[in-house]
Order: sequence, then C-alpha cells, then structure tokens
Amino acid sequence: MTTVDETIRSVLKAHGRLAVDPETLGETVDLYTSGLSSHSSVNVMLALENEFDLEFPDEMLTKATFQSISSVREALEKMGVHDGA
Amino acid sequence: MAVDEKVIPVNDLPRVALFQPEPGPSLFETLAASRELCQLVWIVGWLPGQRTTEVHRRFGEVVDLSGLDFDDAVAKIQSTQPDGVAVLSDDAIEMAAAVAERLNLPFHSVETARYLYDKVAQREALAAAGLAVPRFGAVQFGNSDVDVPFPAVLKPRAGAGSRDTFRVESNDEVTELLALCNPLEEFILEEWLSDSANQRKYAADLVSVETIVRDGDIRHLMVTGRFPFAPPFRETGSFMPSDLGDDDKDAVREVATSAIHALGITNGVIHTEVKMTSNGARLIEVNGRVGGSINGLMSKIGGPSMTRLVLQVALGVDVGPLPSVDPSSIGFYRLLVGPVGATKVTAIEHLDEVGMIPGVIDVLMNKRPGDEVSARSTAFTDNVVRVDGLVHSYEELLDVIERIDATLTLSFS
Repeated sequence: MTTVDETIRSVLKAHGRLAVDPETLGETVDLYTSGLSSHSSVNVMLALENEFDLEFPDEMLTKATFQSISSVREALEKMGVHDGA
Repeated sequence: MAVDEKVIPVNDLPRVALFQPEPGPSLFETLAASRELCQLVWIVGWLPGQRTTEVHRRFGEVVDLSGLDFDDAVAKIQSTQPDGVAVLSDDAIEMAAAVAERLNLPFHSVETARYLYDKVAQREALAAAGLAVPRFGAVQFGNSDVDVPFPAVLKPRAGAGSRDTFRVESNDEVTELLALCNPLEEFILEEWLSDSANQRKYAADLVSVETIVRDGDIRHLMVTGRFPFAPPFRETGSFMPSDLGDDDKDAVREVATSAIHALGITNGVIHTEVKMTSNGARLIEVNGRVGGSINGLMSKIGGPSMTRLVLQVALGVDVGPLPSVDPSSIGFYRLLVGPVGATKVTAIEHLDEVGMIPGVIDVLMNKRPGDEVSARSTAFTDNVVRVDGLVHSYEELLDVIERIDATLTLSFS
C-alpha cells in the first residue's frame, strides 16, 4: 500500500517541477529552495486534493503549507489523512 | 463570538473581476487578500498563451477570454456584473477600464488607462500638464531618428519589469538593439537623467512609491529603494523602506502627487518611479498597479496587504487606518541574474549556505541547470535565484547582499 509520504513525493515529482528528485529529498528540506514555484505549489495542491479526495481549507492555502514534505504531511494529517487510513 | 461580530457568507460578498496575471503574485496571497472582503471572479485568457483556467476554477468563478477580441472580451466580463474590477499587471489596464466605464465602477478612466499602459502617451500627458519629463521619442525598428540626447534609455512602449530595457549611448546602438528585439514592437527612447551626488554601493538612484487613490484622495505609502541595476538595465531587487532622508522622501511623494493629478488618476493603487538626480527628484513613470514584489516587501515589515488594498479600492471601500510598519525593519528581495550573453544555466552552487546567512528568510531557485536565460527578459521571471530577507540597518543590508553575492556560485554557458 502506498504511504502518505510516497504519495506526496509522487505528486511533487509529477507537478512540483523541482530541480531535484523528490525521492531523495529530506522531509524538512525547503521545497521552494528546491525549485517549487508559487505556480507549481498550486498545481501540487490540486493534485494532492485529487489523490486524497479532499479539499484544503482556506486557512491552509498558504506558502508555509507547501514549504516541505513534512509540512504537507502535517496539513494532510490535520485533515484526517494517515498511513493505512 | 461577540454579538455584534458577523461573518458574511461568502456568497453574499461583493464580486471583484480580477485580472490575475501568470506569472504573477502568488494565488495563495491573492486568495488570502480577498478573505471576508469579496468573491473573486478570475479573468483569464486576455493574453495569448494564458492557460490557467482549471487552476482558477478551484477557487471560484472563471471568465475565460481566450480567442475573444477586445470588445467581446469586455462584453463578456460586463455580463458577469461584477461589483468591482481590479488588475495586478499593466497589460489588463485598458480592458479593465473599459469594463469599469460600462458598469460605472471605480477604476481608471479609459483615457487614464491609456496613459498608464502607453509610455509615450503618458509622457505626452505629463508634459502637457507642465511636468518636467525626460526628453523622449517613439522609436521602432527602421524608425529610430528622434531628437533625444545620449546617453538614453531604450525600453518597450508598453512593458514592465525591465524587459528589453537598455542604456544606450548612440543612435547606432539603438538601431542595433531594435533589430535584435521584436521588429514589430514599438519602443520609447528616453533621455538618461543625471545621477545623484549621493551614490551608495547598495542602492540605485531609482526609487518608487506606492499610492492609494480613492475618489481623488491621495494617500502615499512606503518609498522603496532599489539595488543597482544589472546590465543592460535589469532589476536586481528592492528594499523597503528606501534609505533616502525624510526631505528626499517628501520630494518623491510630491513628484508622485503631481503625476497622479496630471494623469487624471482618481481611483487605483499606483506605483510611481522616481529618480534622485543631481537636480532633485525627477519623475520616471507612473504605473497603474502595485509594483513588482512590493506586496511581499510590505508584508515583511508589517505593512498592509497591497492586494487587499487593490480589491478594497476596486470596491470603493474605505481602506481605513493602515497597520504601522516596523520602523526598525528593512525588507528586501534580491534577484540573481546571469551576465549579458549567457544563454543557459550550467550550475547553481551553495544555495543552502545562502539560506543560512543571518537576515535571509527565503531562497527560491527559479531556474535549474539546463534552463535558458536571457538578459533581454525581465528579471522577475528570468532570475536564477531569488533571495528574500529582513534586516535592521542599511549597513546590515549591504553586508547581507555582499554575502549572498559572494556565497552563491552561478555558472552559465
């Protein structure tokens, strides 16, 4: 079964336009320093909504939510997304 | 919740037709600016190649203008009956003004919008109003014989962000550069104003000021300084507030006020560029939108959301008291660009170390090894790396900028 972390990395690979392979990124590495633009962060958000069948609430639609893999996972966890859930 | 606090349901909020450019301000920032103020009706497709409809649909109503001519586009927006119209870039100003005129919404008049979009028309209007403007002339490939002294600045008649902007020394150079650029595009050649006697290592003579104009009432905000330009005339970032003294800042605001009156601006958020010269503050140009990256600078030092101010002015809402900025803070962004002649990024090194320099907040890699670059493009989109930060003195600002430049290694072919 695909984990949340794997799905985030997969979405980043498809939509993040990062300069490095998301598979190799540390959880807390700054995604913007790694090449995530404001435009691609929106595409990442839409792809995550599609993958997990949810909608990010307004208060989570900030640059900080998409700052790192761990910040994305924390946001998803707040919306009830967990491994095996 | 207190009894008198009411949250207005989103669907009851007024609707603002917003021309959101791409690339442009962060969509997340724009959404945050609209919260509990208005619903956004996203206007997309007014320029060829804009394909952002699906992204915007997630966040509200979308009006796609793809394939429509000017009149049909205006009619389509008009049919949505917005309560306000707003722009975040120059290229939508004339269309927005036409919509506003038909719906009697607060925005630039159609005539003023032309002055704000067309640099030649603007200089003519300013000169007609008796303002001192640099000598200028309209030029185009094959027609560059105008009476403008050299050195001069050559730039697109309609454009922003220092795209295709050059300091030129002779008519031969103008001819050569026009041949390199789009031969169909019109340019303006403008006299180079003398530099000020107060040269600083970290600052250009060019500054800008943001102004809110509502029903003719003029309210100036911060004066912003700029880092020295990169050849041929590319922006390398800005800092807020400017390091000018109070008298000079007052002079900048006075110049902006005169220009706003001269162009007949009665509603809008305005970005005026002024050069400090050996003869004092001189107007360069007036733009009918927030300056590039000013929103981010303002938020760094505790100021208001410029995008929210744009939306409030579009709705005719009193913007009320504005938050006081932190007087001990200087926000900055630095754009690192390639040298003239570079065509491709080959390496970006020590990015992580830049992020550890005290005062640096964000490091954004905008290009990757292998990406193309061009000194003709605007540095806002063609920068390789962008660094944002916050410092507490101009000495610290200079130190941080020098450390950024010394730490980061960019290679090009």
